[in-house]
Amino acid sequence: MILLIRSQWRDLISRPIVLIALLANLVLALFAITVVHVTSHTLVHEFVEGPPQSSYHYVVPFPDNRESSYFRLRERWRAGELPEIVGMVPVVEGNLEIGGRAIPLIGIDLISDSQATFDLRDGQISTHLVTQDSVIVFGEDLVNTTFPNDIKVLEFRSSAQTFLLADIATAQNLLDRKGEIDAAWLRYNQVPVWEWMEHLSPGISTGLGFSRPEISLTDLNIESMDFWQPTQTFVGSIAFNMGLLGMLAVLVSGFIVYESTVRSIERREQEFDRLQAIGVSVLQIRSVLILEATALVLSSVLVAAILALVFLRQNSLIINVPKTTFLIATSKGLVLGMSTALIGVILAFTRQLRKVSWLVLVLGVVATVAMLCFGIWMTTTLVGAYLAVFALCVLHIIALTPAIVRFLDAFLPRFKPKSLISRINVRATCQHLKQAKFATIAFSLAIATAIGITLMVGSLRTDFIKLLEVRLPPGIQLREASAADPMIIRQWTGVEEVREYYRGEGNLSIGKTDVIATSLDEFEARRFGYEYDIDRVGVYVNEKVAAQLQANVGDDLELKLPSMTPIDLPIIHIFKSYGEMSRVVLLPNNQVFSNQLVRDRLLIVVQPDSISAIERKLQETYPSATVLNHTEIREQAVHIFNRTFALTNLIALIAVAVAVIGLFNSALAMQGAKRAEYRLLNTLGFSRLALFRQSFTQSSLLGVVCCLLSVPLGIGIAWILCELVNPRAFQWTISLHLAPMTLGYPLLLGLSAAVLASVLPWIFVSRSSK
Amino acid sequence: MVIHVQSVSKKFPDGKGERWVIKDVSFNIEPHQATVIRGPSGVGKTTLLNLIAGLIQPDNGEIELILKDSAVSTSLNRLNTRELLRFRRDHIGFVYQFFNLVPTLTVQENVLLPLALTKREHLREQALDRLQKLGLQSHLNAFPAQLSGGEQQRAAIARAVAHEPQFLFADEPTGNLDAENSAEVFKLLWDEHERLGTNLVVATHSDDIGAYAARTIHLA
Repeated sequence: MILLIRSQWRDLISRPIVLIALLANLVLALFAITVVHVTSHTLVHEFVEGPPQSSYHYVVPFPDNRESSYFRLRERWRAGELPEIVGMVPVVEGNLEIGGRAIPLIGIDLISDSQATFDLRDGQISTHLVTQDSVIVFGEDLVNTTFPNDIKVLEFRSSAQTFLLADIATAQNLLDRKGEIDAAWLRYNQVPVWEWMEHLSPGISTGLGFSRPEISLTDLNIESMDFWQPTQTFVGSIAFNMGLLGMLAVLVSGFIVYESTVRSIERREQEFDRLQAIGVSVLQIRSVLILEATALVLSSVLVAAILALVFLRQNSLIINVPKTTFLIATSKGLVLGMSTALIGVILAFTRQLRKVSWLVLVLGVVATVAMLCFGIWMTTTLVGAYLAVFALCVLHIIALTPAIVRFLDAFLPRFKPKSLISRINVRATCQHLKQAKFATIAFSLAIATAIGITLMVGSLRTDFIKLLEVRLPPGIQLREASAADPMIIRQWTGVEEVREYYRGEGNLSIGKTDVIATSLDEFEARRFGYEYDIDRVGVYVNEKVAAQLQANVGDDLELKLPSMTPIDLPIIHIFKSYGEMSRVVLLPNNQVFSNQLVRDRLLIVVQPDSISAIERKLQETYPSATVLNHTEIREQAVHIFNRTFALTNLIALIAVAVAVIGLFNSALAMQGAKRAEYRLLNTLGFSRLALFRQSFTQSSLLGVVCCLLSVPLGIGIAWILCELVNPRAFQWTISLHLAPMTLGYPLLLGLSAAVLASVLPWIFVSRSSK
Repeated sequence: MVIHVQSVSKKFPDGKGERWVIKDVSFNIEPHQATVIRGPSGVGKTTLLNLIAGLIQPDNGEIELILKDSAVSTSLNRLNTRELLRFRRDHIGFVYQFFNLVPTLTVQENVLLPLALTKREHLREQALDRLQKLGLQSHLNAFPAQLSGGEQQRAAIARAVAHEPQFLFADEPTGNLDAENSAEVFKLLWDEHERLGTNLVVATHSDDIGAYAARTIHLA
């Protein structure tokens, strides 16, 4: 056995380029897994940890806001109703005007639930919060804000969300809502089985659509806290999407390992036969190859972990990488890498598995089509959407690619270009396609994903920019503007109009919503893409509200503002709000609504030549307010958009890079076999340049075929991302734009990568055979 | 004299050092002379043939080839890569032990390839006739992988002489064949040498060609 290992080791190091390529491919895939896991874990936990509601699982809203409703519920619970609930707190919520902004204030009764998992980490703070009429401030952006005298700040804490936390009595006092309670938060007695899966793949419970079981009580509406908190679902969806993209690199890598092992076995077939002839068992040969794969994966994991750590720190994505998370991410990479490599090696040995009968193939295609239909029509979960993507990829692997390769194999020998050299090129490309089927599949899969993502991001970008153009007409926004007087600003030279926006939080039957009250006139209608009709009075809601309520234009919306009985208004328009994590309702401005909200924004419409002057004047007159030019906001929004999708593009690029390495490896193996052909052609009078030209032409043809193969799958993936993934994950709709430039970029990338991956081995081989 | 080899030596890297495969070899070959290079394995027969064919350059010595109807000799050492390539393409035919045919071209296309490269399309009919005479008429559209070893070597000879080169080199052309096929291949080589008036040089272990060869060079 030691001799076999020694022989394997020598064989491995005798092909340093292949070894380096294989290691690079594994390192890249494992790097993607680690980076994606740590990033998405941090993203999810920034939102989940911190807010007190993350310790509670259900919400019971009280439409009448009465304390008596809460006590009645508590009484029923004590009497044995809702046995699965182990804790309950009353909550009052509202908005406080701080620094000209509406800041949410959450008041909870800390004494009601002594076993609460929400931990203030300091018993003294907890006592002070109850006894000293104080608040804890969450969110970095409030650190330098001056608080009104009636608000005593006990402590500032970092959080992804900005809000104030107070004892219920303090909150009622500050909100001027004495004796009122908005809701009760309930704590469930069991940790669901799926919660541990979050550690393995952040966002998976959102993706799979898992939620705690529904519980009910007569006369009361009990909602899941996950639904009540749309931001958590939003980041969960982002994490799930990124996680699946990261897995793609591993999938592509699996194909490469398989292809590489098959090549190695084919190359050493005679050697293995001889070894068997002298008494070495197949198991021993397999064990040596498995040992080789294990060693490769282990070294790759180590390198990938170091690279990931450096990358995460350098890119300041994560300032403090949590040790446990990093360890989990690395272990996940190790397990996935090992499984992929071992499956690849075992499959490569099991040749009978590679020859599939027609019946199995047809059954496979039927099952995959059924899976595709199920993902598209039968399920509304995010995982259903990805099931459809997976089904498309499987169809590409088992049906489309083999069918096209077979067609080319049958058709190309009949295609006879006049030049014999062209004939060699065409046929050699066909042969390469047939021999390196798995590298070709992996490569076309990666390019298809790149096409899918690029088309989706391009479409979203197009719609987003269009939306920004109408939503942000030339003008200036004044934020934290409660102190500003619109009457005065209106009189300034160059000012055409001053529009007021009252903001705050309200409650819908499905949970919290951001509420904006303003004059819903023709100007506002244009901003939100609504064809203005003076006779129609109602509210605008964003797509998230409409999707979650399953409401359409014309339906009534029941909205509850702090200390008000619920109001019913018809939905007159559903607007797009890309990138918006929250539900948003736009109300027509009137005295009743505005009393419950804070007028924290002004939109000043100015004559184009007066923008700079008005901006300066606003800054001078209201130094505590933030003055923002709409053009600046637009640029900032596009910048944030690009930054958000930078990681997505990086993962897609990694998948392409892994596939390119695979193609390189297979081309390298083939160039080795082609050495004799090159020698012959050289004898016949082909110069090195002519041979290079030939290799280049063949590589380009291969690249073109791979890219063409990936186009239908890429468009399919883009369609699913636009039509299924985005609406299901974020509840917004995107129109798929098949822009030639957007499609051209990944194709050009794929073509160049394929040419490079195929030409480089030629250079190595021709140098070594000099 | 058409081939003049003067004090030719060639070394190859061997582990950390170098090994002289050919050392100080000299000989002349007269016009229209069939020559056999013989010697035990590893003595440098293939290297010598590759040197004469201009496929590799010697480290020392000189190799001159004189073309028919030309009074000037061509020193292979003095030709640059491009000139050497052109010379080889126009005037040399080569038959290897195996892998003689481009696998992605049919038999007919393989034979026509040298004509396309040397722009001697007028020899097309003769080349196809030769294929017929070699008994390959039913395999014209077959790919090399579909032929037997003997058929492949016959096609290789047809390809090597298609552009009617002045020098025909063969490196162990029968190394992979049985006795019957070997004899047939040698006869074909001889016939083409006779018919075209080429200078034939064969590196081989086989004794069969000895009957045809006018001269034998022994390497030891």
